[in-house]
Amino acid sequence: MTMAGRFIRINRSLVTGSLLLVYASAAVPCGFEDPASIGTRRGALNIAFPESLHVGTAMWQSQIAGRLPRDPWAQRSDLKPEARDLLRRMWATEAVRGLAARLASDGAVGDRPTLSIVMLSSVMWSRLESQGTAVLANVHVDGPGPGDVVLVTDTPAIAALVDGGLKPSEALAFGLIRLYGDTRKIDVVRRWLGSLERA
Amino acid sequence: MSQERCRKSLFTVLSVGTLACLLGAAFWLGSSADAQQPAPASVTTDGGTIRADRVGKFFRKPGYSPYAGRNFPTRVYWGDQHLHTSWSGDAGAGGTRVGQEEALRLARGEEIVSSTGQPVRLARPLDWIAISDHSDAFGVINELIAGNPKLMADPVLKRWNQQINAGGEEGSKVVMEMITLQGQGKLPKAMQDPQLGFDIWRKATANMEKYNEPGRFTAFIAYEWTSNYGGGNNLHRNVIYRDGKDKADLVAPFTTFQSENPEDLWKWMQAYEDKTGGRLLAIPHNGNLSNGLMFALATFKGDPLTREWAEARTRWEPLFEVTQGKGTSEQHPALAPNDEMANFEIWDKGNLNVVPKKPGMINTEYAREAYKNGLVLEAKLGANPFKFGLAGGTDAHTGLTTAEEPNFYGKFPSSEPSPERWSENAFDFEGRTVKGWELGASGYTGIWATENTREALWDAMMRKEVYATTGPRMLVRFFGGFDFAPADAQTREPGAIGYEKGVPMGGDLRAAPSGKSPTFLVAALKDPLSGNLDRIQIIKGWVDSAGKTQEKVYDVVWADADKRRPDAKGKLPAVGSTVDLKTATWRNTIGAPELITVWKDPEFDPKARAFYYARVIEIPTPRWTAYDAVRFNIKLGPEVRTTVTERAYTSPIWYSPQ
Repeated sequence: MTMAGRFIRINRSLVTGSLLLVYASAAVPCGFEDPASIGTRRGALNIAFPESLHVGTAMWQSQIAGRLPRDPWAQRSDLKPEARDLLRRMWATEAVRGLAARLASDGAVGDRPTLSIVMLSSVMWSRLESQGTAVLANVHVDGPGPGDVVLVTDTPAIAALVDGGLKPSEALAFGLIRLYGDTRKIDVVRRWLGSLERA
Repeated sequence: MSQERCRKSLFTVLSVGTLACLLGAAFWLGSSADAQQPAPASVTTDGGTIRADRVGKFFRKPGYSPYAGRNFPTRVYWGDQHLHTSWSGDAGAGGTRVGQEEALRLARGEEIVSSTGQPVRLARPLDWIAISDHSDAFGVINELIAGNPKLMADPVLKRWNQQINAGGEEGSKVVMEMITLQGQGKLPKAMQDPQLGFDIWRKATANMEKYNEPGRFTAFIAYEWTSNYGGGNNLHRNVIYRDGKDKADLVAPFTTFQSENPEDLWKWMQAYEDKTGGRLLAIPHNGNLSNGLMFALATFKGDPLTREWAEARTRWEPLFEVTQGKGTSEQHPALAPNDEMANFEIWDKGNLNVVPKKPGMINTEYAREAYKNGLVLEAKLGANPFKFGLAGGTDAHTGLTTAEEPNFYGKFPSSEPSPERWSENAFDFEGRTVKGWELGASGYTGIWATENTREALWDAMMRKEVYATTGPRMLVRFFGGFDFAPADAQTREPGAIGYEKGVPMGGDLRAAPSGKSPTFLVAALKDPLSGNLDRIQIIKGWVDSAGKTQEKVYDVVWADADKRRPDAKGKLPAVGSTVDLKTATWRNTIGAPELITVWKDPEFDPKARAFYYARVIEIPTPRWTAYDAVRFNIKLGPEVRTTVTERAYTSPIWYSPQ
């Protein structure tokens, strides 16, 4: 291949495949591990999950309005970026596990769909699977599984759901969580989330 | 205009008669810039002979209205010649869902919703816009989602369409499949079909046609040819059509799949014009990210420059985008240590992939250096390849042409307003990063034109009667001649006297009359929504008797002149700052709402080639980061710039001894 040909091929990759390459990491590392592509990977969710980026805006608007806690590490100038990301990852993990525990506490046994949660700021995926009355949280998975209902949100909203500072109905109304998937399954998830308000 | 005066004369000077009116019209035309034939001295009619010198008094001079009969540009038309929408592959990848039509509606003043769900509107409508989506893979992803029949004929693409529209994990699977096939070079051929790109192009031209309203709002047909030669060396050009859909649809846009060599783009432009009778121009941008290639002193293939090459570049590329979101390319401070205003929104870490620069690369990346080198090349080759005017653009990939600090929506959806956007990476290539706060809320192009139509605006671009701003809409006049006098700066209408006694920005002065030096009439009126003016500078570059290039920045008029006087070294004290970062506000208690002067080159050598352009500087105002800090109640890092001295750059006026 000539030098020019190689450059053309490189360029084709950059332009035609710019969309595609961005997605490559969606199935492997999350934004905590691969911050280089986080902006575009987050943006790319807008194709597979239309208007999912609106969740990010709803998130900061709710934080400004005082409905949600702010990122406790964002303004900590004493933290290195790596330390900040580690703390954020721990916060996200704790929030997902906390949500699984809360959802399990309704005690109901039913045909609940598996819930795939993606944290918008980090594009970190987790899956909540019902096993009897228990809900198993698999944090940081490659992505959603077949038939999952996808819940797009971010850590502050999940953390607030867990501690009761935010009702699921409010989260939906404010656009802090958006659900994607089969309509019937989404209805089931809505009722399931609604159990948190009754708990 | 002459005909209009003629009609009026029929009612008011009946005694002169219709034939006199005709003679008068001929006389008026004869005095206009467009006249092709000299006016006749007399006309013999059935009623006798009518002499021009007798009746000309009725037509020669304007009547009571000083504006009647004018044919020079009296308005600036504001626009952005560089905007991407979801039709650009990289914008779509970044989450942009604002398409061409929504982008056009925003530009003409409507409120729309951004890709992150935020309502957005411009403070004031623009007069024109050139949406310049990348020609490579033009709109393909949108067509896949929308179900373009040509794509749907391919079973794989039909399945992808269904899965993407199903959303959720089905869409994700498609993306993964596309990634795999892209990496293997096995994407369905239908996606790479040139005919498909051509079909999509025709949809784009239809969009522009739909929103183009001559006299009210101009939607140029345009695209960006995006050469990243060598892996991120920015040789991008925006191609702007003078024409409508009828001609633009006859030839498919040029892509970098065909060539990454700008000379091949020029050949394509020539072929387009030959085939259609239309007209094109190209506007390069981001010399600062070209790693020395934008204004290289050799051809793309490394050959020496020739006169033909120089003439071709000047013909096809009359403008250069000097300021935009990814930095300003006027002059690098290291190349102009005496220019304390040069250090403005500089991006000099590397090329578009942040590949670091090597020593010397900045010498052929910035406009001022190119202007100086152009003078040398003109003497050597007989033509100046770098004789370009200056334009501004946003290069936003959000579909949102926002260039004002309090209303900045970033580069990609990831940099749309949010508390974190300042600290996130705007670009990251293997750890070589550019932070979000380094993005600039810039810029726009002001065009001096006679009317708001594609033709008039394009013609003004071609003659370089345009200027760039970093966002504000200050009015700037800049004329050069040999006879401007201080009294000319007392007029309220610099345009009238400017065109009468000189040439506007983008023009040429030749062969100075004996004993005379170039004089310049320069005037600026502040943007009512932005800061007062600090000063106007004229920047001169020339080639000295030893053949060496030189430059000098002159402060020619400034605000608060009673308090600010140049020091012993000729440096003007700073204007100060009224910015309150706690509230992201400022007061116009310093600076001036308007500045005007006539300046005469004090160091003129009639034998030396030179160029002159004006730079208009505003007082400091809050940068977009300062608005973010207040609106999001966040504390920015100490490295973050929070004030900005907005500015305008006029196109130059060149002086040649011949």
